[in-house]
Amino acid sequence: MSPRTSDILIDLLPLLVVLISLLIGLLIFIAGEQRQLLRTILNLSAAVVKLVLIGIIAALVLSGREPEFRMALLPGLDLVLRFDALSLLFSTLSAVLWLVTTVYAIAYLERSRHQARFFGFFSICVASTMGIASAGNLFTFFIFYELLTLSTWPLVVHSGSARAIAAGRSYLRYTLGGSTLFLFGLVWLYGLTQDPAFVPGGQVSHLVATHRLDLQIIFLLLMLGMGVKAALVPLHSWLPKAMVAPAPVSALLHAVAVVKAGVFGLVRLVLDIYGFETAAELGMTAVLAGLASLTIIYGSVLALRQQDLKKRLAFSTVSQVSYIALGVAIGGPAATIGGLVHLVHQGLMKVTLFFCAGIFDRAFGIRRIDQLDGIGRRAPWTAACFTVGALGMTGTPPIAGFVTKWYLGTGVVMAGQAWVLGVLVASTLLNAAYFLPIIRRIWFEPLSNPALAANTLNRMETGGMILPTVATAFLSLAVALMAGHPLSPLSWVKIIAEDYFP
Amino acid sequence: MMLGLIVATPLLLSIMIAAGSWSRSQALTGIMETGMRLAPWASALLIWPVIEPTQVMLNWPLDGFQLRVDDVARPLLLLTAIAWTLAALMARSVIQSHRQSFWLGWLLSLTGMNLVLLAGDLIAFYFGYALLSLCSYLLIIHHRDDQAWRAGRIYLVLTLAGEGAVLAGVLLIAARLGNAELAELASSAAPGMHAITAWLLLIGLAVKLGIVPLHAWLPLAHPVAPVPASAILSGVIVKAGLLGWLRLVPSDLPSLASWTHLLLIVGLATAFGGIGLGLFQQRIKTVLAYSTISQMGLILTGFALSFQLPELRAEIIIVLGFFALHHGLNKTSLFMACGCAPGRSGWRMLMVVLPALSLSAAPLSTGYVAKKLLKHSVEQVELAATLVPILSLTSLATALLMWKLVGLAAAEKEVDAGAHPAWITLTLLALTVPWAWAIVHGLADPPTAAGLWAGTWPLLLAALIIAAWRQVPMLQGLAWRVPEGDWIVGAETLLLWFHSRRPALALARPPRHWWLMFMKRSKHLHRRIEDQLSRLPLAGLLMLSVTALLWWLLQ
Repeated sequence: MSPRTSDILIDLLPLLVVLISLLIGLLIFIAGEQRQLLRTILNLSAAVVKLVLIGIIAALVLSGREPEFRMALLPGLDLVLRFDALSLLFSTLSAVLWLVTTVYAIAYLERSRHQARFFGFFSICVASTMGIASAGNLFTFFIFYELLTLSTWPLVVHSGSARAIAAGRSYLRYTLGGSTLFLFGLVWLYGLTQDPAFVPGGQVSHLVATHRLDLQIIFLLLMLGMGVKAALVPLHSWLPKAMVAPAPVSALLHAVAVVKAGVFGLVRLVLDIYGFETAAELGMTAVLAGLASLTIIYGSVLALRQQDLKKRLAFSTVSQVSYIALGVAIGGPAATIGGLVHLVHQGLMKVTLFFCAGIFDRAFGIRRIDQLDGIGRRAPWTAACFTVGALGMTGTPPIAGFVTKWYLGTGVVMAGQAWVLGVLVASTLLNAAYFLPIIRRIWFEPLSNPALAANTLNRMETGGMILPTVATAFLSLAVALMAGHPLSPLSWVKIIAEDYFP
Repeated sequence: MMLGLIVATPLLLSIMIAAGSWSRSQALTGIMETGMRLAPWASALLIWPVIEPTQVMLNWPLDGFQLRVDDVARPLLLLTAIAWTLAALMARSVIQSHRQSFWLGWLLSLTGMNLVLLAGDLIAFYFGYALLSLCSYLLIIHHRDDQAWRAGRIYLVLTLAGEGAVLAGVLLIAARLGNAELAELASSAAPGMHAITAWLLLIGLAVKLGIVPLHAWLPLAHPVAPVPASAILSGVIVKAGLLGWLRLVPSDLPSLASWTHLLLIVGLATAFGGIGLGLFQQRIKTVLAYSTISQMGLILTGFALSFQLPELRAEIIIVLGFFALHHGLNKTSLFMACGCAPGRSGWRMLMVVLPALSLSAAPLSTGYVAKKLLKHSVEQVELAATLVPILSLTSLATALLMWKLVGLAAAEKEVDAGAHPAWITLTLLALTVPWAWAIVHGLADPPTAAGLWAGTWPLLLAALIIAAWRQVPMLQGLAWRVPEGDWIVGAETLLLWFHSRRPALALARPPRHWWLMFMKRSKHLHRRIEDQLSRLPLAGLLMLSVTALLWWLLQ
């Protein structure tokens, strides 16, 4: 094979990564509802193949070759898929979590209806996440961002109940409203610069002198457009409502797909479109940091007030995801590392928590927190995983959340924004206040529901749902216990941060 | 290598014990039982680093941290090795219910304590401290009754508040120095430290030590925890806070020097307050808890001196290390006595009286040596003229409290409990090991008449007061009582009252956590905000007005 051909093949990799999930989605639709085995095989093999592809791309990126696929849709309007270190962080997370969530969803939805529809849109949803991760310019990002909005809707309303439909409607209104702002900002920005590609440091700095106000408004429009998905207060209300979706969807929504897409967009906006220096000079990072801090506190306070387990987790997401935006908005190497690494860490911990909530619901019919009494004796593996996730969220060492908090906490002080430390500590305490009582109930209260005492099913009644849960709980521990390892998310994020803050 | 093993052993044992609950199979139960059988010996490994200084760097966990042994931690290592192991041996025979959760709490707390003791840098210390704080909860709530839940709740609230302050302080240090080595931190890095950092650490760690007014969890937690657990809580775990002070708060901070007087006052207030509140207690373990508070007040007094005179730091570290060793062993012994029906025979009472005398700094006891060392340090600062007599008065006060304690111990004879061998061993070690330590490190001087008198008169005076008090029948009729946990009871009542005054806002089912209760008071407000926010017209309007506002701000 001549080097030329191999180059072409390498540059096709990003397209392949996106297309594979899209195609699988279509195949699942075609295969129909009845062919369960075929569907399972398709799902799992696609997830594994994608993981392998991401692994190959990771090796390429590490060796300094960033694969890029470019196609002109209109003159001057390119669809660009490119993998840089930051894309790889997000796409690796998606690929790993997609695999575990697929396994989980297959077990969770066993013997329920409309599985073809579910898994079809599930795949398209992941394809758009991949597209978002690898988007090389704002236009491409927008396309996949919208595809994500649309492909997630059928998942949110999957159960078809009145509440689900209402939640779906609210979801669409919020996200489409956000998209309008996004589009507006996008067009405006294209008017100013010909092609806002994602490059470290951005490429609008030369416009600051002449178009200061334009840039500020565009930033706000884009920030609010992405802030809807990232659930920034006061644009977060759709997220807790979307809790009616099945557990695997909630898990994906919270850990990697929608919320993360929004916050990933914010990261791109600050670091790659404007560049941190420019954004800070325009005074925009301060706005984002303020909004993120408000979200962190407000989300935690509301989480404290929820009695429904999934709702509490949802508000916890509102709060935790803003750590990422906060880290990027504060800037400087350490805070950026803390923010970006939370993209992965929050994903792992939150997916674990939602998996557990799903198991509690599916296997024991438990939805409210006060029904959890004594479940630890009954379902020790699930309860242990939940404990790991919850303690991790509060930032207890040696779980992933601690590593985030360490970098974020030192970073904000280094950046001269010590006030944020107050936000972080308050959030830690609030996290403890809403997670520790759950842990206490799980392990120390006597079993409240006598019907659960009898071992009606066999020992592994949680079935295939428990394996992915244990895997993600294990990963939440492993990324902290192996944080210094060259292949850990932390080490990877440190490489990324070098690009932005040399 | 050895240090890694010391930390990993209790962790491994706790995994073995936890494994027992995942299935009722014979094999796993066997593993669990083995884990419990080996558990008491996990802490004995700490003897090794006392003898041989060593260090190890772990590169991967939590982005890398190191463990090392140094002179600051060594007396505490010895204390933990002895007290923790003997208490564990006692626990093995007295803990019958909830064994699994007890041993998990025990071993995980030990892991945390090991990390605190062996920490070479910030991350290791914070890791251990957080683990220790969280897992001690399992020991406190062991009995699962209302008292235990309440004690656990208050412990957690105070501890987490302290934890928040410690976290902020540690992060502030880390922002400047990275994952700083602790040895470096205490010596050279000081000048740049901000006063706020130092205060956050001082206050946050004071929760663990039980400095007034952050002491409220001790008198609640110690009586409800099982005997061996309260022994290590009071004897060993509180010293983690001391070690934190010695490690993280440098003494040559000009900004703190001006606050020395405040710290001294708080320290002495704790020393006397602990006694004053302890005298009106009814339960033996509560009295002991207040006695610990009082002794920690003395530790703060000593620590505060180093801010006045930074050159004194090295000396103070040695003195406080010795003080902690002496107090820890004797206090652990006294707590363990509570489980051995000390009133049943004369020699058992003797084993209570001897450590009690030692704590009241009777001549020829190690308490006397400790107090003398402390006074020696005090004599070098300008306040010596006031402080030295006050320190003698603390011995007097302690003697009064110990009298109370002995009286309560003598009444402990109803329960048919044997004198546990671990208790006997520990008492003997408590009377000898600190002496050996003092002699090896050249801390003990040959006795002089003046010195002996300085140690004797507070005790004589205490005896006089007691004799006088017994002569006045009227005083004995007065049964003054202070509720356990003193101010916290008032705070709880206030919160409950506050809650009951607003029935409209109360939930149908009263919440069990008072901090939640506090949050729930604002229920309506939150719900209203949330409801309004989720109404679409308003959301749209808000989105636009936020944009407009920001635009306007930019103009």
